[in-house]
Amino acid sequence: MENILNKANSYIDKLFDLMDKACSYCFDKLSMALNHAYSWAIVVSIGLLLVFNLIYILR
Amino acid sequence: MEELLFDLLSGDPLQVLIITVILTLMLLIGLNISGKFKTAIEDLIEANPTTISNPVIFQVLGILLFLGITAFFVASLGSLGQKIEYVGFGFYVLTDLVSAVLLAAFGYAYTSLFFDPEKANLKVDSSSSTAEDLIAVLSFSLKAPLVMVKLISNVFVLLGALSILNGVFTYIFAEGFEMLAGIGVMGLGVAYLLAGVFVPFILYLVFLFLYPVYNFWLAILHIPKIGKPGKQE
Repeated sequence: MENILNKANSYIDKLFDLMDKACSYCFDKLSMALNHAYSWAIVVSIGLLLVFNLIYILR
Repeated sequence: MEELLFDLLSGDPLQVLIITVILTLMLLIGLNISGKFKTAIEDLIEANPTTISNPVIFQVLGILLFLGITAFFVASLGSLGQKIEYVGFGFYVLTDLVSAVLLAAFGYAYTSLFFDPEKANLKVDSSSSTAEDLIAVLSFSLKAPLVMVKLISNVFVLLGALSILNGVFTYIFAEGFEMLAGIGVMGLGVAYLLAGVFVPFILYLVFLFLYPVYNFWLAILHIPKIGKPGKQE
């Protein structure tokens, strides 16, 4: 019975390790992706606001 | 924001243009200020180390947070499916989906700090006292957002861009009352953008005003160690 519990414990530990790795992966990739997207997002937003103005004036 | 919406609805294009130019200038100035604060924040974290005897509390909190974020993500996808069923497909599907993925990814990234608290200058030291552990746990709530400030700022900016995109598309293709909804979504996007740009400045100030409380506690705990060889830093 102890062996079964030990096995279950080791599987759960592996699951927690996977959670840790998934979170670290998300941190690294998201930081990298957002650093690239940041300046684009600002420029596109300002551009869109100006486009909205243009359409607003035309309408 | 209400004033902005009111001006937009009042129908004077020149006023709307002036507001847009002011907003653009605010964004650019905010970006400049934020850039300076991002470096200052790194120094601030470096200058405020804390210790914990065992990081297990953070691991448990990390696991709980991970499960919570997973539940949130599944629920978001479920509600989006229901929305599609009732409202039908639209441009909002793309922006809502990207927003849900972005928020979930950000949540997981935030959780990574709990699994690896050393990123927040929290060192594992077996000689750390219970009171120091408590200070480490409590102060983590201030340190973690500061470590994530760049990511938080970027997420807000991206959400803002998505909302503005959604709003402009809604405004262009919708008619009647739905056009107002487009303007509302765009207003929300502008608010996100401004929040993203100014969040490093705000978090820096919050840390600066609240963290000294923990510094005082740590200083009090340091008093018995003064003069004892090996324990004084």
